[in-house]
Amino acid sequence: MAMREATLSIVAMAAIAYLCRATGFWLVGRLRLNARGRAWLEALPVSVLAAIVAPLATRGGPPEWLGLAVTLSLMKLTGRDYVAALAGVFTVALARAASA
Amino acid sequence: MDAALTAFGRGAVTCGGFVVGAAVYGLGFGLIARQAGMSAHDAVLMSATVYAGSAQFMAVQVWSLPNLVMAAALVSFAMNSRYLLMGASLRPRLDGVPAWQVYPALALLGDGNWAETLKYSSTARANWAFLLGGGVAMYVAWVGSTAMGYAAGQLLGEPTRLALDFLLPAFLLSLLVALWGGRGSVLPAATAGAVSIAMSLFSDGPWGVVGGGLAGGGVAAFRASRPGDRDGDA
Repeated sequence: MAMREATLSIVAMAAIAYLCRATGFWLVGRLRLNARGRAWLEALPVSVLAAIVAPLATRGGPPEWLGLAVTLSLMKLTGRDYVAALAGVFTVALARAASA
Repeated sequence: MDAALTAFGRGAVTCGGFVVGAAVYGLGFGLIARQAGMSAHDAVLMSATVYAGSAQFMAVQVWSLPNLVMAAALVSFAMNSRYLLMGASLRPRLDGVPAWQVYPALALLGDGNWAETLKYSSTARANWAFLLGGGVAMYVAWVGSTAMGYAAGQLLGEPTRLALDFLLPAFLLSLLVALWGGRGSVLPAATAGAVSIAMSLFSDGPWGVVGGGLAGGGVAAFRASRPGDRDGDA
């Protein structure tokens, strides 16, 4: 991949990230999203995340399923993403070692 | 100025848990960026300018696509769109702080210092300093750990042995739980997952993520347009 394309991508991401952070603050009081637009925006993060995780679950095997289950359970119990994620990684490493 | 300085320090301390989280998350990002073939320079540049974990993890997923700039821009919007609402919700807490102070601070808006600032709820100027203090601490941890994770990846080698390839899905699943909006999230998430799985059968690549994400959002928007069904509202 050309270096310039990578740099351009990062610049685009940074600009959009900042605009997201600043625009909502700026807009409020001047314009109100209707219920539909707000619902779309609200559902976007969860939808995108589900769209990433779902194919990984169908593509993976028992170690990955176990890892996803551990991550999901610990996240619900502790609410700490790094605890849940690292425990999930640890589980997959163990399960892979056990099945190898 | 003294009061603002105190609030700045308190913001950094109060957000300590998120600082640690950012450091661990950043280590993971550095590792994954290296696995995806991103250069060390690009990985650190991305952390320093984008400063958005979920968007960066997703960008790694699309890093090999031919139309990278478009995909990265879409990913950044999809994952950061929640900041539109978070920023909006901060408006009353920061009203009266001059624009030249507020807008730079918003560059460091994250889930952690956003929530903590809402809880802190002091004067507008103290809120601003508190938000900035938490943001600076998390930012330093995020950028520094990205570089460290990238360097460690060179030592660790063979990522599947330590299951480090699972770090990305595990963090994203955690984030999904963290951002889960209750019953109202079921339909968009299920739609997005189904569309993404279906698309992955036809094309190998992360386009299913964008397609699934748009479909999930579309379902939520459609549901919101039906009166009497307000599950999607926060």
